[in-house]
Amino acid sequence: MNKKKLWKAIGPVICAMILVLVLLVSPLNYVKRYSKKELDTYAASQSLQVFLGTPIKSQAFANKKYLPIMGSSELSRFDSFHPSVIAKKYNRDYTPFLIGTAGTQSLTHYFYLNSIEKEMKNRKIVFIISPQWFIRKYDRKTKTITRDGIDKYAFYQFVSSEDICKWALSADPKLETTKVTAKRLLSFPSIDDSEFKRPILESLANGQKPGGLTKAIMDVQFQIYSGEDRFYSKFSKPIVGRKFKKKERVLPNIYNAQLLKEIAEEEGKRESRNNNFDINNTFYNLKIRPKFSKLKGAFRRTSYLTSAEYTDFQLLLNEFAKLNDDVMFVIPPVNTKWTKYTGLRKDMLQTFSKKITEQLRSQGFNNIVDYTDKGGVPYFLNDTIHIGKVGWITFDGDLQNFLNRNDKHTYKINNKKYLTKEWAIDTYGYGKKK
Amino acid sequence: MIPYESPRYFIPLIVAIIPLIIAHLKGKKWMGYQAVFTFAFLWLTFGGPNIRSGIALLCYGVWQVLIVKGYEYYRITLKKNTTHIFIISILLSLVPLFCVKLTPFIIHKPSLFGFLGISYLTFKSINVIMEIRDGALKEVKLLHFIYFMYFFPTISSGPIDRYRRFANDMDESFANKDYINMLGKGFTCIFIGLFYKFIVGYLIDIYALHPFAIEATKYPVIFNLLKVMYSYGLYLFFDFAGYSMFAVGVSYIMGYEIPKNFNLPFISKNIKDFWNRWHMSLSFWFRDFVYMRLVYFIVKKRVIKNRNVISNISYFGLFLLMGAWHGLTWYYLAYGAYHAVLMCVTDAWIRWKKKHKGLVPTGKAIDVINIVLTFHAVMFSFLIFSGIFDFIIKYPVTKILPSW
Repeated sequence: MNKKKLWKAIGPVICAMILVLVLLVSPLNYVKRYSKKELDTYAASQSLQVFLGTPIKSQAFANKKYLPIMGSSELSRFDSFHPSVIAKKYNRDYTPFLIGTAGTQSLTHYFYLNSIEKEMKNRKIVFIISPQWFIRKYDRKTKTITRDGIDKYAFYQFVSSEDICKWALSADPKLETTKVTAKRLLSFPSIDDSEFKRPILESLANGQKPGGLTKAIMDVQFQIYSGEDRFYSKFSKPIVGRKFKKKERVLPNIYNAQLLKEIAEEEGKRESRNNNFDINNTFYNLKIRPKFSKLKGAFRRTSYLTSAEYTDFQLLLNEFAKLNDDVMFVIPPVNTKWTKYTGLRKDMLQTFSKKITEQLRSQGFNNIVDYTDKGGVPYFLNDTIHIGKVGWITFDGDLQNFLNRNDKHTYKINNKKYLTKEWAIDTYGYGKKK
Repeated sequence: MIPYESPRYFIPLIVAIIPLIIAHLKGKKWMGYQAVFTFAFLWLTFGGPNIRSGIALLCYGVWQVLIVKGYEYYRITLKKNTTHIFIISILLSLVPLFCVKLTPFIIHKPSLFGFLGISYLTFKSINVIMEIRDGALKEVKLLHFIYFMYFFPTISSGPIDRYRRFANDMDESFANKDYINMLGKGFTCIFIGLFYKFIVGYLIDIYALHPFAIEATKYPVIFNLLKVMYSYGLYLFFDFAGYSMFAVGVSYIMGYEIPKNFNLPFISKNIKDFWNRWHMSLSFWFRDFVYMRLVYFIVKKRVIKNRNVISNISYFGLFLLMGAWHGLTWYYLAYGAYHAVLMCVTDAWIRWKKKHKGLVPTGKAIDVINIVLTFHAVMFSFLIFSGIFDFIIKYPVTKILPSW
């Protein structure tokens, strides 16, 4: 055998493997430090890299100045009255850190909190619940549930393999929440290399301690994932496209809630002229106009009362209780003019509000700001369901109340009732009386 | 895991291939380990949660074995040769592919019998049936055929190997092979593939193709479409050439010299040259088993006499079929037709040049012009292929956004 030739063939491979190990797993792969200015721009960016990047998240939330606002698509309504713009213009002593975008739901937020538990302890957090998360789609032709709560593609977009490994490695197999989460993960068919995750998830779903070898493999995986995360964070910059200056221009220099509301109404009127629903022009053109006639009466049967999302939401409440967070929950309304056209039932929305409020209050989460009845307030919403100009002003008032208060909270988690299928499908009396 | 889709695929791959490398270096061909190894990596792709497609893959294999062995019995053992039986065998071999490709149009859901790489396996099987008919194959050994079909490095997207070549590699001992050389070549291919797919292709996708495509579907003006055209064409090359390099590299390390798929396609001087350099295993397959057969058939039946017309018709046959193979949509067919026209025009141009020698200047500068022209003609074909026109026609955003 020609030894020299052999080394020529396999030498580069060995070098490459050593290099990868050095770059990813060794201490040479230090954590990048982000400057305050960088973190400030990331706070309002809603960029996916910021959402997933553990170094950014943990450094930002090590600072109590950042106020986590968890939600979904409404956070993208970045108009002049958006909490980030208001906080900057009026030099508030907090900076909103936007967590979430279109597609994030209870379960993604559960994993988000889990990925940075240490930094998320004992905080004030704002959580915007979307009634639209709580759906169940049923295909009558194939007789299968096509979607129950979060969409599986959205889930894997917003929950990284690193997050899942971290959760699985630290999960207590005795807890009911562990079982339920593992089962939920297994119900989303595999993406990428879940081959390695499956055995560990299966044991956790059965309430068993995972075997030593599977755990060791996952630990190596976790090291590689977080190594990659640290490594790439040094090279790639999140995209931040927020134009604060332009948005701040219409705001008066001195804070005045009444004046702000008037400006918001005026702006709303100006930007929602091409339809009779007080829906933002651009949104209407893009999302509504192409299928306007099809939408008449289309949501008559839609219900936000039975969905696996209730169970996911309960997991999230478990996490909030575990981290001892003081959370303000916000329930946004649906545009009343729009519900009349599409047939979405008002009493269903009210029942939703009652059901979710019970789940919160009975377990000690008493900070609830319920806007369900504000769907008819002009320009409260930007479009059909997303909080907009006037809504953000109202929200700002409630937020100040919340931040200035220092309530004592004691959470009494009741998983026997709320972490069950029975609760998830409980219609709360809706549809029974007639 | 889809083969080679993420760099992580290479972690188990490298670990599992080490025993094979050691055996090969000792001059041993360890077929038992190869079988286990192949099964394990097929399981990674088609097993576990994807077991439905794994079962489809298995059924498909049984089906093709029955057809090929049946036709072998008929043609070689019984020494019979009628066109009917041959055509029936080919059609039977095509049935699964047809079903899988047509089902989505009927029930609006992907077929239950589909699996990753079904069309590539069909090419291999058809190749065997055709060569049995030609008499080029004297026998098809069962195990050889099965391994040829299920050879995991190339199962998902080629390169499309030929049975005779593969069976030779399988039988040949390592004693008279320069395995160290093959090993080096294999690793070189994998490194090039890593560079192509995970660095260049990835960067093009993230920083060019993705944002450009969003912009172009919103505002389909020429400038935006041009950006999509170049980024998509280059992405297609780096992604697929990278993939092919992996397939070739892993096969070499396993001791199989499968054909390569790309040979610097963007330095082609004309469109014929391009098809000898781009997705070569596919274009050679179509050349040998569609184009040549069509020409032969037309000549034999004396339907048409003019050789140029015959060749042009066969080009359309080849490229329309290739388009349809990519998918039954208008833009794949348009892509095929476009290439057929380019081939016909190129042929005519070459004939004209031959007749009028001296009129067309030659030299380095002319070569450069030819390369640039060919590159652009090809890039435009990829723009058709991308389906962006279909998207623009179906969702005309500009019409509903007058104020933007």
